[in-house]
Amino acid sequence: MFFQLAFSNIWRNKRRTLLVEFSIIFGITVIVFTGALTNGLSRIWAISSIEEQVGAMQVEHRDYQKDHKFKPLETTLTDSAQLINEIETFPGVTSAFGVLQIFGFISNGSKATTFFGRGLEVKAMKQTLPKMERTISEGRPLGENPNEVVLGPRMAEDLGLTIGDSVMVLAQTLKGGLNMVELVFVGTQKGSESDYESAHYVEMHLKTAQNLFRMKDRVSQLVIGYDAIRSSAVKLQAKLDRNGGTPLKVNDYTKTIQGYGINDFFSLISLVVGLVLFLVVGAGIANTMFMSVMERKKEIGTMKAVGAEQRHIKILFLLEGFFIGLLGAVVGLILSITLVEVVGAIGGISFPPPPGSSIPVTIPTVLDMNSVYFSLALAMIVGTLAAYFPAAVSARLDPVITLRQD
Amino acid sequence: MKKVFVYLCVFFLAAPVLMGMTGEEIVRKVDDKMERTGALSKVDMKVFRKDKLRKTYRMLMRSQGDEKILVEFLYPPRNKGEKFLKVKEHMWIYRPKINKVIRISGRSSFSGSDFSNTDILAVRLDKDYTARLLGEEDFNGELSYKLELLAKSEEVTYAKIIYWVRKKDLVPLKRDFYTLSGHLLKTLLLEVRTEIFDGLPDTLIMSNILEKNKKSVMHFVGYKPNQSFPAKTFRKNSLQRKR
Repeated sequence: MFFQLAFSNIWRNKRRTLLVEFSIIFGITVIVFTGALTNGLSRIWAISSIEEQVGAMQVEHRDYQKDHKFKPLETTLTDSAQLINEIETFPGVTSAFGVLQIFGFISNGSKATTFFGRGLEVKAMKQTLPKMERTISEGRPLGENPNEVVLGPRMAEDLGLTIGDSVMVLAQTLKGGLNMVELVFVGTQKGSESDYESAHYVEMHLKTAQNLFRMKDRVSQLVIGYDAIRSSAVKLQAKLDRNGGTPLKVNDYTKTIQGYGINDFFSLISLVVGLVLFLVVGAGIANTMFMSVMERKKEIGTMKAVGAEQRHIKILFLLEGFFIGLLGAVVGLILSITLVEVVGAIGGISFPPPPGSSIPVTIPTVLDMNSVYFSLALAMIVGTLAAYFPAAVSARLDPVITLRQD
Repeated sequence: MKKVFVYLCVFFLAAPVLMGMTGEEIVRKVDDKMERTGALSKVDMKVFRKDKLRKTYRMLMRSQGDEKILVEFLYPPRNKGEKFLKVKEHMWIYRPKINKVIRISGRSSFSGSDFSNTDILAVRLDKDYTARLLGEEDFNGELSYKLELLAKSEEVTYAKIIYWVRKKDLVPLKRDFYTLSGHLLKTLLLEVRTEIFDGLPDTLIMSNILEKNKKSVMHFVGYKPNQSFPAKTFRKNSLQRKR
């Protein structure tokens, strides 16, 4: 009975209720659409990073992040070939390849400099990172020849190297002795963004790096390709833990893409904007409910006179607030989800080219269920809370006074 | 025929003894000569880049055999008070500006020079290498032993050293250092320029094959033998200033 009464009460002043509903619908549309844009931005960022650089998941030694600065070679994965075979049987995994983080000295025969970089399994890397070649700026990426090397552009310039030149690479092995290999320079890596990285980056074949460091079948990370942009890191972690051996840690792309954590910051901004919006909406609902209370003083007095208790009056007004919120949320969600899907279907929203680029940026809209749940809950909670004070006032009204009023 | 074979075997096995010392003996004797127990030495180190003198250091070196060595920088002011300590196979550096002792690797460069910490702080070669006499040859007009030293384990910095030692008085002349891959990495020339060590080398010239026009020269300018150092001299905890 309370539900029915409350629902019919909200339509007693249709114009006022519709105004409040419009404000709720607007608030929900802003939250859901902003969430979808942020989600779309994260999605294109994730896809390009996954396909070019980091893969969907990475496996490394459990202590690698903690100890790699002092024990980079010790905190590596052993029996990497067997581990790759196991990982490739995991549902959804398309391919995987090993990476060995390397460091040492590189020389052109007369000048030397320090380097850091990676030893890579080239064939498997091309399967796992299909867009990887886009990051080569001069020459070509590593080919079939195991004695090839790709360098940062500044390093090649500093050492006065041209494509086809030989370089000597010196490194300290896992056990501590010094080892050296002669390699042929075949290309430069565009991804070397910072000056330091550009002047010190070296990339070579994994087997060559493993021979150089005398650590057969050991890698720093395994990079995994996956058939969808979703994380199965927890399940893969559980599978690998069951197999025993080297203690491992599985990280998904949200941990391995550099700076990806900024998405949490964007989500926080959306959350704050949503909260501010609903503070305003809440004030509107509270105002509507107050006016409703003022208009229905005699009715409240009558209800009390025929035996309704304070809590009944309070519940009635709280339910009205709740229904206002719910109705706005449902309509708002239907509209905003439709908008997100329509914009998504036409390819997203085009923005003007960012500074330093001539290519416009198109951001697709991808529905973010978190913002859907958040706005639904926010509308109902704000509706109910906004009605609380008017409900409390109405419940305290004295029936004798209210019935005497004109 | 059988007798001839036995004679030949005996001859080849006994040849080093009959003809002179084995490689192991030569290296041990040279190590014994070069090792300084209870010695206080003053050393200058000059670092050359592009054939020009780039840096000059002055150090005080306290040695208690090959096991304990303490090097203290006296000059330049930037490095004054810096100390390198070696106790057995462990090495540390003390940085006075931050009053901290940091463990270091034997392979890293000794104060930006072409010497590694091992080159300076590890004197004896017979501990880490097995030696084989390759033969005798002329080295700068002097008859010398040519030895091949192979590292006993992969933990040793240089996998192989080719070593020239003057035959008449077992004075070391030159060492070529090789990597595990067999590439020549560094060359050390040992020269006698003063009589400070009674005919033993007092000047070490290290050049790196990876970088041309670069070398580091270490020259002993003062030497006091038969010194006794208190035990705390070579203690890691004694390096740090007490707060």
